[in-house]
Amino acid sequence: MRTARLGGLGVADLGFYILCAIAVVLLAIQAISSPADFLQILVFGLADGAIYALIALGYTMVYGIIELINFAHGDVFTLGAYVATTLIGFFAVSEDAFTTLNLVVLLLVFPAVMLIMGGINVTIERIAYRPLRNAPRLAPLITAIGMSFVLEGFMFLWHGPATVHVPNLLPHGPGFEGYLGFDCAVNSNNCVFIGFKDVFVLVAAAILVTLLALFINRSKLGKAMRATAQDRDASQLMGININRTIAATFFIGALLAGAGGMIWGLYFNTVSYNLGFRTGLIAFTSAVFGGIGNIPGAALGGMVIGLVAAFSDGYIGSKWTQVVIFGILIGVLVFRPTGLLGMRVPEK
Amino acid sequence: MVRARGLVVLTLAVFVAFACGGSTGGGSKGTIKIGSDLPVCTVGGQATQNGVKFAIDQKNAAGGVEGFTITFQGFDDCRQAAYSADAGVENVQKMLGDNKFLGMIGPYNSAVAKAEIPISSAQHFTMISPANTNPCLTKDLPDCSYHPQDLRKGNPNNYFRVVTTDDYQGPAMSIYAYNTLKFTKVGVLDDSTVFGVGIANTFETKFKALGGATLRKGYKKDQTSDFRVILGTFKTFGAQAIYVGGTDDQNICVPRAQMKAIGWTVPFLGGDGIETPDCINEAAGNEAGIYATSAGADATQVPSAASAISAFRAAFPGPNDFGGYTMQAYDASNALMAAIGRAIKDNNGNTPSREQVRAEMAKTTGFVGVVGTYDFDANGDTNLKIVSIYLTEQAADPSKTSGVCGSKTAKNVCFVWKTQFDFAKIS
Amino acid sequence: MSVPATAQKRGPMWNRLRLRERIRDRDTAIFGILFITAVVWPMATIYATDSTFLIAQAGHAGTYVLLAIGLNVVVGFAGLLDLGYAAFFAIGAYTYALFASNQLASSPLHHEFHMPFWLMLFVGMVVAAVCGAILGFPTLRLRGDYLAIVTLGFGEIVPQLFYNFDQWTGGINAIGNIDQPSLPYWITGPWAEAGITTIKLVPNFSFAYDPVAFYVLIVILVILAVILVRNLHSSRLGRAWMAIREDEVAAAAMGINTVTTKLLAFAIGASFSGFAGAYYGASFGIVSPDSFLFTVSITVLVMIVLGGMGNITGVIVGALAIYFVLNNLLPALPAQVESLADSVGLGSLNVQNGDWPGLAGETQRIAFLLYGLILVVMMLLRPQGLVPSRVREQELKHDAVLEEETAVEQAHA
Repeated sequence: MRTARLGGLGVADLGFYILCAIAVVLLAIQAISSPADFLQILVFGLADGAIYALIALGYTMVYGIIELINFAHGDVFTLGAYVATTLIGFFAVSEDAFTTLNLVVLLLVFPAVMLIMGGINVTIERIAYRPLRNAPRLAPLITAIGMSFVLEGFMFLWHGPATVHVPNLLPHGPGFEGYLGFDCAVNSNNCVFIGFKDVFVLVAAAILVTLLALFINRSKLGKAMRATAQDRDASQLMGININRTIAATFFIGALLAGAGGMIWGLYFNTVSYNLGFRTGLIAFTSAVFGGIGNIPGAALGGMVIGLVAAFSDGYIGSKWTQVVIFGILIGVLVFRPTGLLGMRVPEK
Repeated sequence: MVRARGLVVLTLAVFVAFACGGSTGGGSKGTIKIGSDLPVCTVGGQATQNGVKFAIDQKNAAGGVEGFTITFQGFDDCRQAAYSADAGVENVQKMLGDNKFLGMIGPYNSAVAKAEIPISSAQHFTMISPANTNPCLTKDLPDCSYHPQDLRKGNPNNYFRVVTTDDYQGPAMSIYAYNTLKFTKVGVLDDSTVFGVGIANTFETKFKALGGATLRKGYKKDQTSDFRVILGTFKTFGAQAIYVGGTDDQNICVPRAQMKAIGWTVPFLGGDGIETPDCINEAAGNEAGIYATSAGADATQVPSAASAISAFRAAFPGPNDFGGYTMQAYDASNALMAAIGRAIKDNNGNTPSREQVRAEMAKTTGFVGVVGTYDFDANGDTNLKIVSIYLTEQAADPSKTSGVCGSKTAKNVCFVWKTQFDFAKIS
Repeated sequence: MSVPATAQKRGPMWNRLRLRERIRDRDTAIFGILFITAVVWPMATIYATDSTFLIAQAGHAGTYVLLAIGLNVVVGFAGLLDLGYAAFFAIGAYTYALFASNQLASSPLHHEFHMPFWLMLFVGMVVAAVCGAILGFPTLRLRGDYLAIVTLGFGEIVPQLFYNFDQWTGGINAIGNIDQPSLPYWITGPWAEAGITTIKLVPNFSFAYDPVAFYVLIVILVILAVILVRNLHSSRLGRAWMAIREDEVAAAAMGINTVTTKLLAFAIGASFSGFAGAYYGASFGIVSPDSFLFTVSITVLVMIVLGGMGNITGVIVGALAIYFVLNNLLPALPAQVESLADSVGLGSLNVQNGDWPGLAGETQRIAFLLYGLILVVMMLLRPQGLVPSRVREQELKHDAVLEEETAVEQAHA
């Protein structure tokens, strides 16, 4: 009995593990042949992945609770960067230097952006999704696409087609430069450059994800969310206010997306109105990759996709990155249909 | 059910109302229409369209062409804020469908031209591009993946351009980078468009022929927003500069901004796609040190153009109304109107056919424009083979520069003319 | 003959054709209107605008109608959400483009093919169908939205592959100069040689980008597609699809082979876009990987959901409506607004000034937002689509009543 079960699982899982093993071996070869390059790409990949993770959490929470692919979520992320730019513009910050004022502005603008985005997302839910909760399954999907266009159109109207410059509030200087005793001044090619910003992104994302996990697991509202995701009717019978719980899910998803947008802006200093479309798609892929509806899965999926994209850019060529990411996605879904950590099986 | 039927009827009514909407008025002896097909959503496309509009307004004010009034209609080939070949094709079909259109100025992007030429050549419809630089559109070069004669399908050539081609533009920067700036290793990045890949190829070929080494990478706008990994590979390669083939609407200057994030300061070189205000905006925070070429003489450096520019400035006073190809568009429009004028004479003062206009355009020799004197060869290329080189600098008075300055953050950072190569004299 | 006699005679005929009933049937009425419009369209537009452009545009809109009809088979009939439908469109277009141009001469094959359009129309269809089945096969284990995600991934990969394998496909340089369909000699030949040019359908046996010829072709293709899909819908297979859509487990229990049925939905749905692809390649003369991106898949999905999923009439109406909004209404808006401002004396707003891009520029910028708003509002007003299928309409009404009842009960409890 035991062997049979293992055997039954084996075919698909074996394929999955073989794929993973091949990837690890290939990366290890690269790491040994050029450790500095490898480390550098690793750092970039982790930082990008952290941002994808923040967006992916919103997708996974919304999908988990109402089974909607919220296409507008990526644009909520971009709008976060736009709002942050405007808010920062109210202060006389000094770019390219890290002053006390910059720190104060950061501490003020961060929560403000998150709350504004939360409010916007709740409004979107109220207007575009709630009235369609009992409509045909694809109707809210189309309004989600419509809201995505509305948000993009709004940003387009606001700042036009060109990219928008986000003020650089963080110090540029490297937090760490050097590699295994090489002197960067002597041989800059063997140098790993880890900027203060890279560290900032990782730390900020880690804090936000931890807070979210605590909230979902410990708070009463978090419990209500988990209950609603499992069985909406039953939790309604238990006296949970469904509308409020779903609104809260959108609110929290947007808090993270808004934070992600602001972090992106501070990190890259350029955003364009349609950034969210592609970034959202990648983040959604991350959520599926990690096992949709699964919060640690989304975070892990984001990091993995960020790394995959960076390694593919570096070692295969960026014109293959798209093929690699979605190829892996299809592979994972075929071999392991519930994603990396998909313990829940949403067979609805 | 009644409501559904009402909706359908309403939709149809709107369809029909729309169909009837486009009637036109009369003129003195009649009207002739000239269209333009440009990406008006971009700053560069708008500035180019201004040049066409200015030339036609001027001509009409002076009595039109042989008694005919010229009506200008500008078509936009943008879809969702970037040029689209499909939109261009639709615009050309729109012009071809209306017999009053005898010629067009445009397109701006080589990929659009490639899609439009087969359709327009079948109807002998004259196209003059003020900005297309991809050589394969007119020349049968070994590097080209398609042949100009195939685009025209045995029809006589109907496509002309007043700017020189990337097989001069790219090499001009190679020569400048290798001989003047003394670079030997350059990273080459293209934006995966017809123009970007083409110009990057010509740069790379010439740079290697001169003795330099290159590393080639590409990206796609909608897929890459983090360029640091690509920049990192260039850095590891030991590049002393980056050459980019591409246009600002494909975010080609965003890597310039991100170079700062990996603490790397080497010059940033490119073609006419980055000699734009939007490029300076994209590179915000790291605008200095961008070298760009332009596929024509700098109008501000040509003495004969001074009066035309000041007249233009009076008519279009906005800071971004004048661009790198405005005067080229002005010349192209005047060349087209001159050809239409001769065609009217050929047709005894009546509205000429498209073929007559095309034939007269092909015969154009010694046309005196403001940027230079044009002859067109059998392929439709101009004999003017001047490439100008610019560098971004802080300018005390932006109006004294090329006029291409940042429009948002760095309003005083402008492309300043450095030198020019005249390939007609070199070869 | 007396008058009453004629009336009596007409009576049974009238009944036999059941014309009154047929006209009363909404879908047939819409079909009739659409058909008459399609026939009158070339004459009417040339008469009204003196331009063939609207005919060319209607031909292009027809491509989307074909796509919508095809996607409707997958999404509307079988209930399988497909977010990568543009991939099959690309496959159809590239199949025609590769074998009807000189592209392959510059590929490692060094030999160019010029297959006739009429043959390639069906080859493109078969190739797309096979690709649909290949994609469908490994994903049949997946349920619900996981399937949607795999199709999304497929839709992202395919255009990128056409771009990356530039040795074969020309990559970003696209395949241009694609052969034009030509009619058999016996249609144009004898008349042309006899010098009777007035009834010559197309000159030189070739379509040569003639919008009217392409328009006639697409109308015929659409009519064929509609007849095909209508028959499919009421066939055994069509009923099996609906059973799977409503409840897969129950359908399997009733003896439906869900694997084959789903595969057929994918393959048949894909085949229509193969059709559309070949037509698209011929009518535009150029096929580039950029024309088949995710936005195309999304647009077609929007068309069918907005029109009324599962209902062919609705899907056609939706496709035409969205095409009209995207390609006529929104692009024409700036000029309309500008002239409106001029006529009410606000002409100064039209001038570009500093950060203000001028009224036309501003309207152009707002167009995208408007499109989004139109989608949201239309969906909120008619969640079941503009012209929903009868059956689903009834189901929804029933659901809504049940829903209301539960709400009332809860309120009382």
